[in-house]
Amino acid sequence: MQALFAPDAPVPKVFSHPRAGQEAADRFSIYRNNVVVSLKQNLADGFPLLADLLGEEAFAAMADAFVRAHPPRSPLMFAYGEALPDFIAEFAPFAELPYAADVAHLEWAMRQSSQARDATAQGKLQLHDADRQGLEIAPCVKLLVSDWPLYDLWAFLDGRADAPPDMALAQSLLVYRTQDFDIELACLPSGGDVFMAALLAGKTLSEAAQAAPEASMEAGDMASLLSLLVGGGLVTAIVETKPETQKEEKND
Amino acid sequence: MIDLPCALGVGFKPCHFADLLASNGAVQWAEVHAENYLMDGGSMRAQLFELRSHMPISLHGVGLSLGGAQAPDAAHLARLRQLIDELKPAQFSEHLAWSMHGHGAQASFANDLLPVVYSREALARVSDNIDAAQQALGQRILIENPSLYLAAQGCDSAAAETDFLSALVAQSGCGLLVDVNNIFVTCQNLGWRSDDYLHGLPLGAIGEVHLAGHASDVDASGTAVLIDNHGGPVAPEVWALYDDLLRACGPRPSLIEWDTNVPEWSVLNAECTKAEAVLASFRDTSFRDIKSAPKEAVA
Repeated sequence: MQALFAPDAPVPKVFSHPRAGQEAADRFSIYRNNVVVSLKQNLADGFPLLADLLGEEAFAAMADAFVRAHPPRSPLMFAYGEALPDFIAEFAPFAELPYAADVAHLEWAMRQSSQARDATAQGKLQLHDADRQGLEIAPCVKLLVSDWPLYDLWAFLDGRADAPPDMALAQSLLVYRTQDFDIELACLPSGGDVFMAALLAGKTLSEAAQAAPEASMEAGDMASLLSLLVGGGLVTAIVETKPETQKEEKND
Repeated sequence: MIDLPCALGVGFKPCHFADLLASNGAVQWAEVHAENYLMDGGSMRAQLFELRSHMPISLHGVGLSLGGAQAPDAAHLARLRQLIDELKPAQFSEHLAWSMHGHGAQASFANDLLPVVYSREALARVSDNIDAAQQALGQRILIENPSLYLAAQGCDSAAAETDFLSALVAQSGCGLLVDVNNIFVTCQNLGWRSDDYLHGLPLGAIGEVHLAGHASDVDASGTAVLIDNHGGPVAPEVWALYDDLLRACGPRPSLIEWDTNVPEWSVLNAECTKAEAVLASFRDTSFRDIKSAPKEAVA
């Protein structure tokens, strides 16, 4: 297997070229090529905005290095590339594009959202006590906290905005899936990332609101966000958040 | 479990979903790569289950690595079993190839179908692996012949592979998925005779046939080599071999695979219609005992 991912490794001795006098390596390289090309294609398909941002050549060079450093661990190729965002953050040639890793995180989150377990609310959602109850959020909801204008970057790379983003902004996002399986992004208002993180961690509504006090998150923004979650079918249950069962639902 | 109809199937591409459902032509069933549908939920799975409500599905695995030195991964088998239980496909097939090495965080998956050395030790191992898969999946599975660019030393005739396949069928009770394009590609690349290959196959075990296109290239030493890229129409020589195969074994569920440079539905459908015409010409012939089919019919 090592012979496949390392270009200079020798071909296993058991194989021979079908024509006398020729090297098995001449044919072995077909397999080696198939493996690397298919994995790089998988990454290009899975991270199209990142590929646009970096350009074809730079993306291909990065993907080549990634494939050799991080061969797939399982046959589930839809799950290949999880390590790519962190790899990019450490990839020296992209030091001048510090937001590239966040674009990769976003595309990974969008893929995770699109493949998440289907979940809808069973029965009516009834909130009795915000001090004791929290929200069970659908597995397709992913929170992305960024120091960069991630929403505007996405809109620009996706062709939805003409102007390049103001890089002084910091935007956190909610990625979610509609009932029709479309992947949507919501740019969170100030304090919205802290509020969402608390909800996703299984805190009560009161605790989440306290985590994002009026000074950081306006009441109207909080109401809009809750309305987006409930209206979008993204709240699957109202749950009692007793201390002993307070556990973060696996959400990424 | 329902059987796959003895008719044409197509390697399903999501971009053809609406056309396939609306088509009233040759295609009666569809095949998908199982590993593309093992996620927890979402649109891909929903689409597959909708397709299943319209036609039988053949699940084609590409990641069990049954030709490998290690037993198939138990967690992966469990995921496949769950999909099988939910989807109720007509059958499950895999490859005589390997792709996985190591376990857990130390594992690597090559995302390709790598060649098996046809030794006595490998036969016992692969047969055990197929047996383990059949136990875990709760059914007899079909094993597909690979397309080879390279063989182990000493594998200088088609019998090296067909004897191995015959022994696997005898030992594990598996069936065969015969990819006619792979036979042609392998025989061309390794200098084997494709009529020897057809004669050597355990014809009664064939449960499905694949047809696909290949590309011509030269290897690093300048020798011509065919690449099994599923990227174009079926080659004339492969159509001829398909005819020979059906003459020998009788009509079998047959599939057109077109996975790269995927064409419009009308092009793919025309290729399926072409295959259906060949299949239909054998469907009316009676094949009382496949194994006693006269050998000269294959020549």
